[in-house]
Amino acid sequence: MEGLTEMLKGVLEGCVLEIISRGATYGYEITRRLNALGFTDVVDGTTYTILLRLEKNGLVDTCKQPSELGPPRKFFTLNDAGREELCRFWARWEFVASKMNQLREEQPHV
Amino acid sequence: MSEFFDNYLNIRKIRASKREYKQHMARVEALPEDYQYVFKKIQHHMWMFAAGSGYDMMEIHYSLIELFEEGAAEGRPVLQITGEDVAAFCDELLRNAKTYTADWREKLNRDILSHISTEDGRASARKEARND
Repeated sequence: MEGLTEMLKGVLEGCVLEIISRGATYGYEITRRLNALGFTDVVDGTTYTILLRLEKNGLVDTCKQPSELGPPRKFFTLNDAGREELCRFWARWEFVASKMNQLREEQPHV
Repeated sequence: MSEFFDNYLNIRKIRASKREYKQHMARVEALPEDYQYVFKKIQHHMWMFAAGSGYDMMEIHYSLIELFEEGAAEGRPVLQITGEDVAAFCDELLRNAKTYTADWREKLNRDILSHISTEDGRASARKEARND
């Protein structure tokens, strides 16, 4: 789906944390995973800035591994702080999702 | 020596930083032309927002070279990496650096908060005086 950029802004960080929690991965792979999920507007640059922030905030560990093509790849894994943040993210998401549903399903006041 | 003086007056640090800058820019020169163009545009755009010594901004640009090298090695067009909204990409990168706009935002909130809280202080002091 297109035109999701604004809506996804606060959510993508959680998406990336969730993807990393499944096992060590790198930027390009995360982007492709998000694209396959249907977030087609997401480009490498988007993932890149999110990874930069996760690293700066100490939520991920990184290690470089050689790749067949080009420079070594940076692999990301979740650390304890990252796992805690992921739990908090899903709690926030549950709250937003339940409130959105509540709003939509509320009976109009007569 | 405070970080401020270290950043501006330590000749050895400045020389090392210049050397490092040249090495990194040589890597940029090795990128395909489109990548070079976009890199320099991004660099120029982001510098307009820099605050402080700018060392953090330089670090962001250095690691950006890596992203571009990966993309170029895979033979992908540069806009597939940055997206067509390069300005939005820059905004996200800038969130990781010290910017003067962020400084102004902080100042706005700080000024208002300290004014309002002293006003509150005065108001509650007047109220207490009346109650006495």
